[in-house]
Amino acid sequence: MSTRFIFLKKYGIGVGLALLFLLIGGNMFFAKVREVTFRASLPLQSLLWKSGASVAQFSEGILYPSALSKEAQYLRDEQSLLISELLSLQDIKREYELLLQSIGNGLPEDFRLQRVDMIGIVPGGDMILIGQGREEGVHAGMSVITSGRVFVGVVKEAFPHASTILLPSHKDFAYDTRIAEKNVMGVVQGAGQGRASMEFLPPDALIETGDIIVTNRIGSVLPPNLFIGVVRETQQVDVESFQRAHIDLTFSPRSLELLFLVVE
Amino acid sequence: MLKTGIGITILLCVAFLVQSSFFAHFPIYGVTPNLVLLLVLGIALFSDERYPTDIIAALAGGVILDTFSSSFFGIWIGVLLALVLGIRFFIRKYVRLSSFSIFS
Repeated sequence: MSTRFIFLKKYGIGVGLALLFLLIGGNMFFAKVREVTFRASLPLQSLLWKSGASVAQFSEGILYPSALSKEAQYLRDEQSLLISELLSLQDIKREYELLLQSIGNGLPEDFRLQRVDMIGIVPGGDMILIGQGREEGVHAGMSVITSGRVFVGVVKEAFPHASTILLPSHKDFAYDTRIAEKNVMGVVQGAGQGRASMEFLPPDALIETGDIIVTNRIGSVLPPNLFIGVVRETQQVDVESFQRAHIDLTFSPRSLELLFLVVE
Repeated sequence: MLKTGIGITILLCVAFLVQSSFFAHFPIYGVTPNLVLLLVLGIALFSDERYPTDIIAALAGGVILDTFSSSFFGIWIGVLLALVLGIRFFIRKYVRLSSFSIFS
């Protein structure tokens, strides 16, 4: 009997059995294991995320000063544009309020938001971690948005003091959405690695590059009219049965910091 | 061996936390390097094949990555074990030099 065979006979079965128990046990108690791990790693992850953000911000200014000044100029231009838009919107809001008062209705209620802190990105980049969980009122299915009301994702799992957020690019993400202004409905489906597409669009709908995709009020559990992304290109699928639109998501998980949970 | 195993597990835990929370801000061409995978590969390449250091690293790394991923528990364990065993096989069959092992 060769030495290798004796080694396999002596240790191989034991290692195999240990692996089998690890896999079965791991899957049976997966939620519990993750809960404990998240709780243990939360303070360090939070600290590392904050220090990483400050180092990145500091190094960006040193490494790319010209890019920074260009961005500052762009933001200044954008700010003046937004101010003018804001003024016109304020006029519209005033008219709208007067109109609602005249027909005896109040203003529609806004979302109730709760601030949450991002603490990490799960490998693959299509899921993020936040430092709030069940104890802080977070539940699976709740939506997370940015301060600019951009839709970030949906709470997948809520642990006592941490939660995982499914981004629209995750393969498990599939929610009803619509193309704003055109009112064409479809389903935003994640494709992994930061990519997503809008599926089941009517074959005759005129979808163009740059069309804005928002969450849908009808048939969706997501809060309505939250900005998700823009159409990059369209593709006809299965001989005119429906169209698919590849989309550019508005945010990068790395740029996220201050997030809000939609409580109501 | 126990000390090495504990040391490697702690190192991989720290690597994972640094990868997911600190280096997430410094993507290279849009991608954050998987430090756990790189460390396990490094250990597999530079460890002495008489000791199961690389297998321990693959198991520990796999458990850490599986715990934080959303998919089936065991995928990363399988991937890392296959990689480590593949490297062992490759080194045994094609590499004659064995004097560069760092990990016992």
